Amino acid sequence: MTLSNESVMAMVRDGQVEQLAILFERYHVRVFNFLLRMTGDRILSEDLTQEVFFRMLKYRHTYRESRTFTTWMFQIARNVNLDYLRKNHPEMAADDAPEPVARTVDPSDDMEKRENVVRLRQALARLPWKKRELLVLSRYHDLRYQEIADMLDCSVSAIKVGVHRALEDLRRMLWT
Amino acid sequence: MTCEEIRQQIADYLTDESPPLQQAAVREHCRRCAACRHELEEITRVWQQLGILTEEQPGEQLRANFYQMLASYRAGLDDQPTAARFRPGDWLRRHLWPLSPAWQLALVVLVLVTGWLTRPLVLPEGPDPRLAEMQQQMEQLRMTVALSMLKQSSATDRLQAISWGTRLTEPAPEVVTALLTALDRDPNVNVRLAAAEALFTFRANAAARQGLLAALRRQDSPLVQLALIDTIVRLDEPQVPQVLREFMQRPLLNPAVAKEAAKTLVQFGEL
Repeated sequence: MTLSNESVMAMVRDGQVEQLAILFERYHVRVFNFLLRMTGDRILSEDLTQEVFFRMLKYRHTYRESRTFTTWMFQIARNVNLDYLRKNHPEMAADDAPEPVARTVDPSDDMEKRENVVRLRQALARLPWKKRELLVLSRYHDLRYQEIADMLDCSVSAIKVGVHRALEDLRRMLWT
Repeated sequence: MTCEEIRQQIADYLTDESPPLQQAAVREHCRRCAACRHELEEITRVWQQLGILTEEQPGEQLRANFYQMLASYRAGLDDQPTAARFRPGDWLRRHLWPLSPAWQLALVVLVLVTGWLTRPLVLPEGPDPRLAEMQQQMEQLRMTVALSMLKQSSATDRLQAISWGTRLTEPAPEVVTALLTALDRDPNVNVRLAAAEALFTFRANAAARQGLLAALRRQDSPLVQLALIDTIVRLDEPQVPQVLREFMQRPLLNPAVAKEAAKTLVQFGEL
């Protein structure tokens, strides 16, 4: 029988820290991809992913089983990303965070797909940080609006409006 | 519902968060209203377009770094004093250590003399520290050479490097990472097979074990896939059936490999 994420994290919190390996194996790719889509930088995202799991250990005593593990994990990932921005770009507010760096595409893809991928990455990178975060969390990480609202400490309707506006912005960038 | 209300529902509509009745209302409204239909189609198109950015895999170094960090953290915890932990030093001091300084001095002298007299019995032929140091230097040298040879263009050299690597008594994280990278990316099948076998010899290492489990889904060569199935079964890890089940979902799986994976799952009582 597979242990739930929440049970495993409760074990980590109660001192069985080696159990964090289970959660690492389940989620490190997702955390990495969240950070990659936010920063656009593979090496930086790997470093920040490591930091996310370190903070899980450091702040394990703050975990409550009543909270979905993935929501808690993405909250940490988000804070790690914000802390990185504050430290390295203190002149910028979160809304004006630097655009993710341009990345190469998989050379095995056909030309049309490669062009679409590049265009989409550029458009995502031009979105304000908060809108990009909303889209990344709702589109790629299967988080429900309620979970995102809990994480960002705002109402569900604010999240829905935010997602809609982010998609509108993206549409304008892609097709007009 | 008004057009404004419908547009507020679009985010729900995309993620299937709204109840079926509400979804039907959105569809019905869009059937009649060209502007909202256009809006829904366009937003849905953007939503679908976002799907072309597929998930990427981080480098193997991340896994090695994580397990190293976990081990260090664990070691740090073990070093922390805890109130409940039994400490022999405390117990001896509380129960056997005399209060009078004269008796304390006498006890110290007694312990030293006894230790000196019984030394040949306890440590008849202690290990030569110079030998231990030499062994450590040899180990370091072997590791450096193996890591360097793994980067050679000749497959024979890389096979030799892996062979040297397996002679290490305890692999450093960079050795495990180099082997996992060879298993994932080496263009030569024989080198990949040798890397899998080498990693199995280091199965006591968590990064090596987890790396072997993760490697199966990235392999394209049926030969390496078969070897990996055989290897991960011997790891005695509870995730093996899950890994095999996911692996069997791959399209265009070689029939012989699919058969082997299915046979292995039967052994686990899964099929």
